[in-house]
Amino acid sequence: MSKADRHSEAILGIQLAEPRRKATGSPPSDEELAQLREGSLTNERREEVLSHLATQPERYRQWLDLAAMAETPESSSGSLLTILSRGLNNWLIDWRYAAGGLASMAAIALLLGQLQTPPSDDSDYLAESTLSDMAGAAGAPEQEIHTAAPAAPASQKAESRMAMDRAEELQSAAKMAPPTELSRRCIALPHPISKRTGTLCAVALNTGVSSLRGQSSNTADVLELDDLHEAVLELKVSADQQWLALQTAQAVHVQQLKNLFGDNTERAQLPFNAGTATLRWDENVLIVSVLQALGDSDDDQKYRYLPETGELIKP
Amino acid sequence: MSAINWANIVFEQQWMQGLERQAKHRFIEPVTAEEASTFVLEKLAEEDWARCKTYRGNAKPTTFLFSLSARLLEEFSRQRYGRARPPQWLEQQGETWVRLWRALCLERHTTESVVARHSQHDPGVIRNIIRTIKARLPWCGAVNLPVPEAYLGNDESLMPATAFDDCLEQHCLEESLATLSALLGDDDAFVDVHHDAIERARAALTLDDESLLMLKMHFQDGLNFSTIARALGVPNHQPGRQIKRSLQQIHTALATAGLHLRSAADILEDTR
Repeated sequence: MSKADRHSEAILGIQLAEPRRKATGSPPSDEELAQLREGSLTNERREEVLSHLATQPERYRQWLDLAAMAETPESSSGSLLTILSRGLNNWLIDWRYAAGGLASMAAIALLLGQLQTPPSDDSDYLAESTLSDMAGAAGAPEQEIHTAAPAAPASQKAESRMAMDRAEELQSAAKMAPPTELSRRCIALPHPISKRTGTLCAVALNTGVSSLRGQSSNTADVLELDDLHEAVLELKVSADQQWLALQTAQAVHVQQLKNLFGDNTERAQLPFNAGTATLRWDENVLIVSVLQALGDSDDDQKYRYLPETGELIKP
Repeated sequence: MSAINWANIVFEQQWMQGLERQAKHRFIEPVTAEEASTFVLEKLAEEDWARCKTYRGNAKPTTFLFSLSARLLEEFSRQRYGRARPPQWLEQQGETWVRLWRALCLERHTTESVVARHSQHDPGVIRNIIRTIKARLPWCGAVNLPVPEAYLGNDESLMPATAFDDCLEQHCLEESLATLSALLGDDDAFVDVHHDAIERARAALTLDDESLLMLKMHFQDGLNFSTIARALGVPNHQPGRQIKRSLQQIHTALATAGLHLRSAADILEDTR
């Protein structure tokens, strides 16, 4: 059975198992939710608390929030939506087959186009992602330490000592490890000076920095261009490929491409946040559409930014 | 417990970072996230840290504070956006769906801004979910349409999910199937799935609460096994093994009911 199939079955299983459950005991207090994380509840009370989390979505969400807050950023992962979507898509396909209701091969082809998970062996299904592997590697020695009893024989003490040493090594290795890439956004862009074809990427790192990198199509060399202290959400290049607009959560940055590739980090910063502003280039004018009213109305205010002069024209 | 200096713990950098990170994760608008963090800090400090004095010393103070803060973030959301609750069919799809629903229907952000703020996910998937939510909840995000009464809870709300009008027990799965039909863009996708097959599978499946939570956390909310282990206070190796066992149980229950999921790879072969 493929990995995607397992996801499909898991989702279906959740749907089947969720209804008709009853919570037992009194609702958990805030402190008991904390205790659940720390493993300090009695077995009986723990089962009662779990029964409330399994039946009450709001308590479950509070607990997820608690878990997320108590996690370090490095150990968390948010990429499963993609896997989930693969599972959903696969489930849809499977049900259509089971029902004998396959109406359109085109729809299936479309869905399979989104389904990028190749079938994998059962044996490696439960391997975690790279991120969790890293977390697991750091966590494993810690577990060994916990299981080493105080009165253990000398050999066990030696093992425990080795495990602690290994944990320290892993911790220091983790501190010295290069930053991890979280996501990347790329656009096709010829080099502004040599005109060779290539790509420009904004690579979000776990350090909170986005690294701008250029790469020519015919070499493997990556040109480190500049860093931004925020994740880049959008990259837009003007029609004449002279100017680059970068959108982050808090601002819009505009920079001349030949400066970016020429080691000149000068760039303009416009105070539009990504929650309400969208960008597009109209020739060499950057149009920033700012949502004025809540909702999906079309009454955006359009600011025009002229990078040549640095002028921002209000609507 | 009066000896604990709550202010010292709360204003310690690592704790503050945890709060700010979660506020940013929960509220799309950076300004709103900042307001939410401030709200939590004010509420914690209110009346000489009165909320913290419910602490009994059974958990670590920092974890207890995170638990209080999680509740306060929800309180902030309710004060700001009302007490609207997601419909059951949507809640069943997991926390990501609820977060998108909240951003679109309550906070009323535009589709584009929501997609942009979820840049770590596949934009196509996010758009599909948004399309589905809007198709099933036409009032969602419309400035001139209030949140319908049916979605407004009156109580602080820990009542069981089955109390929802739209969650009559026997219809829960059908609701989900309808949601998935909408995602597929084909309303007739599941018309031939028989209710008794679903009921047979449901009857054959017995998952304990912990196993169900692990499945939800992993498959719906995107948490890895290590995070699940830490959240549930169990050894690191346990979630992987337990989820594997649960999957076997689900597979058996589906087979018992005569429901067989075909692999995508097989279908791909068939269509060639």
